[in-house]
Amino acid sequence: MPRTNALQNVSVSYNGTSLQSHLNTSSWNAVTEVIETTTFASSAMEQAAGAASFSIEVGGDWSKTLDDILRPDTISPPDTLRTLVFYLGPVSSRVTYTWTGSTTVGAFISNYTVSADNPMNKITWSGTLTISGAPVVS
Amino acid sequence: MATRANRGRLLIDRYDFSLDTFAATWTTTVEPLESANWQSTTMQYQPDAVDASLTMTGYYTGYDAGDIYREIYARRNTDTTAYVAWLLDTSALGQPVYLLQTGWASSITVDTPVQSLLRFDATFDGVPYGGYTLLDGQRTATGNGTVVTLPATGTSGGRAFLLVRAITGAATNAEVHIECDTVVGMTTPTDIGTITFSAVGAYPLAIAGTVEPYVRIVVDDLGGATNFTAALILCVNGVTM
Repeated sequence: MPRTNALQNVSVSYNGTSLQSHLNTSSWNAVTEVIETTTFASSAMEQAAGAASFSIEVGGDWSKTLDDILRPDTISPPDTLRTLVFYLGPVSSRVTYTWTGSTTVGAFISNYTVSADNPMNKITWSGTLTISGAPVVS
Repeated sequence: MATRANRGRLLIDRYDFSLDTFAATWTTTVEPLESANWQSTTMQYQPDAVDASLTMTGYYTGYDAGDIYREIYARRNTDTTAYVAWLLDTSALGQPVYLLQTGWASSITVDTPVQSLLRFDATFDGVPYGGYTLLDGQRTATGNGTVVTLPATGTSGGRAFLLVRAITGAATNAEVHIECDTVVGMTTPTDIGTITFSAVGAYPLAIAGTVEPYVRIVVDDLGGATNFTAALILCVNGVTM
């Protein structure tokens, strides 16, 4: 089976603007809630699948361009959630997750950190995109 | 393109502690509020209000008035709150600034390693603002400042902060104002607010209404002073924050 490089094959678009050129790390998390269903009749712990939830951890080199995209929403979180598009893989074998922004579906930035650890180095940023609702997968 | 960390400036009220600071971290946190309902197939969330902090690391340089450690320590556990600003890139005007209004030092940690310099970490909490620099440096004469371009027009006002850190001579009612326009040439500028000062310190200004995308500071009167050194930070609702 072919392997896929991360370069040029991962992207996040937030509120209609691609963050790809501002990212050097991302972590997509799809977590399913666990519903405990163990009873006295059980011979082992039993669980059922609950609701799914999604989030994406992102980070990279900080710039004014990046900050202009995210800063307003980090200080004044939006009432209408933002459209978020996340894709993995090359065009020929790509999976794309799309949350179209509304009052119940979409994303917001639940954590945003700008850090200058070393005066001889660069400013970096990291963030968490918390996602509400289910994506359209294409 | 990456931004160098050594272009930053840390301002606390009237003080510029850039030369005694070597690290900073700005953090905003928004708690996700669960909002799923009986028809939800996946978890749903709404954002709560933002919580912000600025953590900086500085060198211990002494305990005289005006020394970084003393001034930060004085802003811990006090009702006299501070304005704390991180100018991220002082290489040009119009660069981002993060500012805490009513900031106070929530923690101070002094590191005392055997084989290193004395340094300390301090964290400020407060109400966050994000804006651009319209002024960062010395003004020796009246007149127009550099035109800065905002990403868009603001329609719901904002706030400006003038942090005056030095005055040469005596200033009495020195005055600056901020103006905006729809064209970079500033042919028909609109005055959106005036700040008057006679001493070093922090001066906030509430701004109402429309803020057009081309903005600048205008020094109207030095108030008799030879010059003053200050930073002016413009924060526009829905545009820079």
